Amino acid sequence: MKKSIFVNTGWTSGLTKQVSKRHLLAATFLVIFAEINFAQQLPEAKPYTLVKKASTDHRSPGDNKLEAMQLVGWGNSYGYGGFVDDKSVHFNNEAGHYFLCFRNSVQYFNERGDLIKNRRYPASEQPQIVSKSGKYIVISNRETRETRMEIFDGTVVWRREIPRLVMGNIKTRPGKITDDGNLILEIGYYHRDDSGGAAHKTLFIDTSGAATELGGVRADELMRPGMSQGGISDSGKYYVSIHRERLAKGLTRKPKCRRSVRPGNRKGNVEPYLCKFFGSISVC
Amino acid sequence: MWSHTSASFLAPYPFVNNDGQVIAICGRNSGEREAYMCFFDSFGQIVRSYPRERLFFMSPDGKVLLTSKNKVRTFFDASTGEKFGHSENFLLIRSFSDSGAVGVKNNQLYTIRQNGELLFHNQEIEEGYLLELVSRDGNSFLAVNRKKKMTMLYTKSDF
Repeated sequence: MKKSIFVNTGWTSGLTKQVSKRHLLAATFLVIFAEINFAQQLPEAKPYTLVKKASTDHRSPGDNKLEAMQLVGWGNSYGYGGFVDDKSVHFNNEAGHYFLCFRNSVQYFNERGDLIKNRRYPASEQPQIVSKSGKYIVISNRETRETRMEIFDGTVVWRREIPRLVMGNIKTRPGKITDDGNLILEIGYYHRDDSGGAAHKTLFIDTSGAATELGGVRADELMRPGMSQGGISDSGKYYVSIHRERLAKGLTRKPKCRRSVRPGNRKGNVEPYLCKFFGSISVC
Repeated sequence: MWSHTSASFLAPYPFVNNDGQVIAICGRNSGEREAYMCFFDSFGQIVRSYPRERLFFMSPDGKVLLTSKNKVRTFFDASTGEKFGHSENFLLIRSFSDSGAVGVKNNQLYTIRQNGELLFHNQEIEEGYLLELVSRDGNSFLAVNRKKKMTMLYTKSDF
């Protein structure tokens, strides 16, 4: 009698099919062969060399907790840190240099993976945003809730408190530093000399520390807390603002469909947003 | 000077490059809920749109977009909105260098060049490690094991 085995094909409505062992082996072989073949047919690039396998298991100064890498920056291009490429005009960095952002430090490495600079902060301070060049760092203090920006080049060469502002909640995307050091920040804040009342605003802060509200956008027009808005070009010259105005009456009700049409929105809210502005912020 | 548009935005994070080109997921008309990838001109008019494309990456120079739709990766010219290359090989894309999108399949590193051609690096990413960052010139990359808090640096330079 011919030997056979049973395979539950699952997705085919739970039916159990009888498949010969020979067929199964042939199919497995074909899949493996296809995978190998897939790679072998492709043009091959110059190989990489493992330069360093480094532990990122650091401890904060005065703190026994282990530091964790954190997400900073804007967009996927530099995640929790970044490579500084040779096109960067700042910081005298060389090709292959990179930095990583930790809970209480920003660490800079050379092309061999050696730690060359380390900007450490007390446990109460956290680096929030690092520019692509690694030169500008925005730091917030959890205890005082103050925010400052600094230039770090082995030593802190420039340090500036962001004026009149106290950092409230930092949004999903905390902001962006343009290549020339201007800062665009979306924050919940209040003026120190005001009696109270928090607002969410998008601010453009130039290298002198002067803050400008983007395009005169009124706080009540801005997106709800927790939602970032718009996009900013790397140069900081162009800014897109999306307002929460609903487009049609029917959309003011909670939609029946709970599935998101907006990628990344886990709450399943399908309200569309009206883009009120986009254009240059240079005239702000 | 602000431009305005009446397009409905269905995703909160539009791409903006240094030439002011804006690409976003939109309904093409007021109130429309079907998602299109829309290319805008500087006056806020939609000049080109593609249904159900998912914005994925913008190249480091902002000139090229990579999108995903039904596991197909497609490159678009950010200024004209024209397609100019695609790959049907499903890679986990993690970064974008000047030469193309860099991703992983079966723990192996690949680059999808902007013409859609796939480049095999013959470089295995160790189990437990994720490709995290690729340098802009494509000569270095970082792989990170978040559990073990380890980082590996690979480079093509000779030392």
